Amino acid sequence: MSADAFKVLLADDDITVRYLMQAALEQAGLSVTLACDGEEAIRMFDASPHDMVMLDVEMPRKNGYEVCSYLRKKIGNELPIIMVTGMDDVQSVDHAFDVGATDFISKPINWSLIRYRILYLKRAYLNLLDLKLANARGRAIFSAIPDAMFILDNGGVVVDTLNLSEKTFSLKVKLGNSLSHTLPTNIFQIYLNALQKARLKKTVEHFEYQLKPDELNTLHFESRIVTINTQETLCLVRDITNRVDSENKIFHLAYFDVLTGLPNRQSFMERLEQEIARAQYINNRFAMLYLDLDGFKGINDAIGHNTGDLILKSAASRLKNTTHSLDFSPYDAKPHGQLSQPAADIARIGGDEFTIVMPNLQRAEDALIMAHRIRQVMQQPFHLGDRDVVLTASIGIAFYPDDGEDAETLLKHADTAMYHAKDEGRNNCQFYSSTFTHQAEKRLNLENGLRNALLQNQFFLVYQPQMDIATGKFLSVEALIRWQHPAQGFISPLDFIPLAEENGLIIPIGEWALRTACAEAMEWLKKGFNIRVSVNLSPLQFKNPDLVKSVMGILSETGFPPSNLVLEVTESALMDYNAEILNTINTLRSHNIEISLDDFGTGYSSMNYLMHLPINNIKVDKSFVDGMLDDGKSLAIIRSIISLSKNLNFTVTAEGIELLEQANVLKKLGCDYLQGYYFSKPVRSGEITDFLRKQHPIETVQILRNTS
Amino acid sequence: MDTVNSCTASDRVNTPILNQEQLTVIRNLDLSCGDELVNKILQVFLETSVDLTRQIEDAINNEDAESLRHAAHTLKSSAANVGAESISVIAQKLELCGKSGEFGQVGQLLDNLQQRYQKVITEIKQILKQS
Repeated sequence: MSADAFKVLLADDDITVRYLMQAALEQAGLSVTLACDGEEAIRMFDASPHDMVMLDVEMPRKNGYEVCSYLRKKIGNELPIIMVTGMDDVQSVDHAFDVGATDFISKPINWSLIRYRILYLKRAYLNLLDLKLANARGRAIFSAIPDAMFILDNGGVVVDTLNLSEKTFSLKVKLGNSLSHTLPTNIFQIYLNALQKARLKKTVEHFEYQLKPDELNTLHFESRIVTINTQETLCLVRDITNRVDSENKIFHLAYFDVLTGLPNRQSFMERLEQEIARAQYINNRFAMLYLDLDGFKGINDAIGHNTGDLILKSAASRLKNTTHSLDFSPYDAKPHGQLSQPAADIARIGGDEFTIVMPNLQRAEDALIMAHRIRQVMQQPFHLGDRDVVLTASIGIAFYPDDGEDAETLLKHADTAMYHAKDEGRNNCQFYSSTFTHQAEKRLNLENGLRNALLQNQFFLVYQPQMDIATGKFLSVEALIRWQHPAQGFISPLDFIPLAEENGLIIPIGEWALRTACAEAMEWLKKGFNIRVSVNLSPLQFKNPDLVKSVMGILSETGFPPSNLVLEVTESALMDYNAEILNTINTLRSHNIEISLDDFGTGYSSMNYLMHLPINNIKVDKSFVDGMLDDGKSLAIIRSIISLSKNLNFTVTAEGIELLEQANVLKKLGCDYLQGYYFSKPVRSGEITDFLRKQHPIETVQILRNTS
Repeated sequence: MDTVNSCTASDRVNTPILNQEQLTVIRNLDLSCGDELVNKILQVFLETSVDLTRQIEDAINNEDAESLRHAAHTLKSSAANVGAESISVIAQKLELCGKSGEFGQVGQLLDNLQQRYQKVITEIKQILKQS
């Protein structure tokens, strides 16, 4: 017999049974030990434990029941103990069951079959041992796993708890309770969904969720769901709060600068790449500023790194404040106090080096304005205890895609521009590309010039006479603005009006023009020249809710009669007309101020608004007059405009008349007023009265009269 | 009375002294050693059954019901194992008498047992001698 043979202890006082049983069981490969009474059986078992015990019920010195009870107490429930009872001795069978026997065999024993009976029992016992081992292994695994483990039924009720560690105590999983008792509804629903999915797809479902046990804390959990059978599902839940916290910390360390809290170089480069992808997609330009504090290293060495760190922190916070409150257009209609979208993304990419990305760049010079603003903010003294430190900044500016189409190049070129700024004597801002430098400087100069022009009275008005065909006299003029720059000389309105529209200066400039026109025309009136004056209004002025107030104020201030004032607006100002604009026009009309539609036919001419707006006059754009003699289409358009105007009861003014022939055709088509170099160039206010006195060359009038 | 009569009646039935099938069963339990196991079992039966029949006699003489029951119980089992079915049947009846304490029929049963027993041991000795 090998050492690990299955050992059976047989106790019977009948020696024939002992011998026969030994023979029968050894034939089945079992190892048999024999005892002739109860006490010997106990002694033998205590000396060497057996895998199975067979006990005759009736034995001297402790019967089978007593031995069975003893062994059960000693060894537990698994050991198979088989009682050998008399045939039909129901009482013994019953008693054997009560004392914990595993099975019984009745005498007389069928010796041919007994070994099979024992082999069956042996196999059942080994299976039981395997199960016990599997359970023990399972428990060992459960106890080694930090997860909470429990079993849910299909409705989410906890039907068993396998492992509930202290770490997952906050889950409050309780046997017999539905998870819905302790989890928020949405998370309970996630569990139910995962349960169904795991069952349908036969997969391990995995999900994460958060619980907030109180205001301050957030706990993170990771849950795995796997189907056991049609009724039960195993849930493993792990508290991953520490891991998530660490990950967040690592992320912050990896992406943010500890000193200033700003994104670091790594983070910046990723942000820059994203911005490049975005700008490429929407075909946009953006600016990248590279800032270096002049002489910071020297200061750092001189007054210590702690102080240097304080300066860097202050500089970072100045940068944040400057860029976040950025509002480029001084006349922008953005309400005050409202924190606008961050106009820029700041990062600290090195010791005293900061970068700023300006994604929503309207104009190249906005980057320069921003850079100058930052430069000015940086040169304010840093108050460090009882010491004030003054630093300046050099800023380089590069544009995507002009100066680089990838992050590395863009950064390098912004850096180059920054060094250029240093070379230029520090405390200044430079573009990488000289083209931008020139353009931006020019526009910035123009913008600064515009502001000064108003203050320093560099604007003046000229007036172009308009001939009234019906009388053959010049009864009206159009006021046109001119800018005489003290250094640059005459600057065309085509250059400065669009800029003024962009930056909102058009409002004060337009107001100045209206006031000046009314005042000067009032002078003419006093001299006996009752002339109507057309003044151009920009769309921005027209949408200004204060327009009526402003116009009426100027009229009463100058004494100029409202009926002599014509306000010219372009189609674009009226295109998206609404109740407010209609109201503005109606109010102006109620004061007998006339409204003229300028540049008609050049925009999106819509017949619809013509019907609804109480305007008086339509001006045919110069471009149609230019082509009318050579080009049938221009003439057709002019004819249509005039015909349309007559039908809608508007008068028609044609501008840009340079030839007599043009004047004659327009007259024939029914045009009411003519304006152009053929009659007169725009003249200064002082010259108007002389012009009106002389009127115009006699022959022109005669020719016009002959054709009428 | 009925029990004893039926018992004697069954004794008169021409049953073999030893059931050869039972001996074959024993022989088959250990084919490797031929008749060794059969002989060993018959030998121990010879040795132990002498004591048991004596114990039964003593118990009957002393009217010791418990001793009678126990000795008869053991003999019943041993005799069955060697194929001495007639003895096993008589022992079972004696066991019941011991259990109930009814000694009225035990004398008759003891006579039957002794007669049968002599035949059985003669037969067994014969077998053992042959081998």
